[in-house]
Amino acid sequence: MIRAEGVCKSFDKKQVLFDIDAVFEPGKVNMIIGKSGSGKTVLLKSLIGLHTIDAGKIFYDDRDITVMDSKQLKEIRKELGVVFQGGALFDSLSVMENVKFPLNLFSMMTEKEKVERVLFCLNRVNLENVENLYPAELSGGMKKRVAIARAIVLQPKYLFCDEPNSGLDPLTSIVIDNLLSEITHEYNMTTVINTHDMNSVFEIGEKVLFIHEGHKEWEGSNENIMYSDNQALNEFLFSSKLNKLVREKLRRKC
Amino acid sequence: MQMKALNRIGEYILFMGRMFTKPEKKRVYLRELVNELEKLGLNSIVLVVIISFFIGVVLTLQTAYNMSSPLLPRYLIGYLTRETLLLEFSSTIVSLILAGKIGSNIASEIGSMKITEQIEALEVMGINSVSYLVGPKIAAALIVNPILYIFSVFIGIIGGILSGIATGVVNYDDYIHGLHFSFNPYYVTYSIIKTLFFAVIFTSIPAFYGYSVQGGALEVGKASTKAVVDSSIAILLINVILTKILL
Repeated sequence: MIRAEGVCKSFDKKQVLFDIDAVFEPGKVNMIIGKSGSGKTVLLKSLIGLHTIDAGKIFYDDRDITVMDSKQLKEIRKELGVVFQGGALFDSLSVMENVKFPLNLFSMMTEKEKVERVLFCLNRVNLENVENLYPAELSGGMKKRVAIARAIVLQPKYLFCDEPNSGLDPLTSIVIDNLLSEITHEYNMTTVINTHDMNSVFEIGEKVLFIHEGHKEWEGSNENIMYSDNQALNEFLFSSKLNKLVREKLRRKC
Repeated sequence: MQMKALNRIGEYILFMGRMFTKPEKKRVYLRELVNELEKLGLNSIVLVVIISFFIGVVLTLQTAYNMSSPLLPRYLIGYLTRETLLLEFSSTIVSLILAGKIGSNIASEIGSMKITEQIEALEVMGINSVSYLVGPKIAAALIVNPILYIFSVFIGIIGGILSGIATGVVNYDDYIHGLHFSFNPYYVTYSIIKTLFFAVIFTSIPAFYGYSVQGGALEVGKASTKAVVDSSIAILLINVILTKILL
């Protein structure tokens, strides 16, 4: 479980996050949603320790990372898997080397064991015969899947994904969403996904946190998000005609 | 303006300070070092050979054409070519050329990694990205640059001999005599010390600029240009300081 308490963050006197409290539960797909520029990515990067927060606390199973020194933080980071928006695969390394990279640094496995683990992870994200390709030779969806394979190769307790569906077509987005949901439940990970893709929220978001202009506006499940009376959330959710139609249908059913 | 420059120098010093940490796994760093040796060394040899050869040719021919007095011995052609290559060209000018070739490459490579979140990916894995990405580059340049210097001197001298004999401005014996004439081995030591300083400059300054990139591809291009300009100026400044101290 990850718990954020009163998280504040500013850049050059401009405050981006205001007193955010949140709990991200294990074995669940936790989603952070909000408009572009609302502070989602800053919150995610604060949670993983890439940004030093101005105030507040962040607990990983009761371990407060805001008071840890770099050595302790390094130990926590071995338990994290992160999928960045663009995949952040290392261009100069093949798929095999990319996925093997964390193993080379942190595991005591033999070379044979490492290769087996990499192939297992690639297979888990439904990729085969790509290990010798380079990131430039992969499609957007394949890059994301390789990034997921790299993120799970050390069997992390916590998985973070920053807009995993950005730039992907709807079909590939669903494949990625389902994959993230499956591995979350399979490995009982605490998964935190940053997104503004409402399809993902309705498909796999078991717990949803809505951020608006740096403030936490709403928290709940994807089942009750449709019935919220929060104005900012409703503006965000029902900006598309499709979502409006879905809401009307649901209301008529009720 | 001055404050901005001082800030920048301060940031550069802090950046360099981040490099000195214990490596996570020495084998991974060693592998990176081998890769960098190939990138910085092997890929620069052809350029150094071509430039050094033709500079050797031109130095010999220009010296010969400027020695109109019959009182000046012909062996001075070999002597002056050697001195120019040994003292200045093969150390400073070759380093300036490498600052252009390698420096822009390093700044754009690290800048691209920065904007595509590859550096954050390293940091989040618990890796000191400065130490991992920049350390092997500096180490490789420290190994390669003195070797390229020695290589450049030899190739330049060969270019000089061949052009001198081919054009008839100097014969082989006179040229070789000039190469041995009044040779001071300390000049080699002095130049090798310079190449070590230049190696740190043309790898670390571009790396620093690459790290400072924020935004998109346009900023990567700007950082690459700034890196080459600033590392070239730094090389020239350090050259003056080292010459004053060491000679």
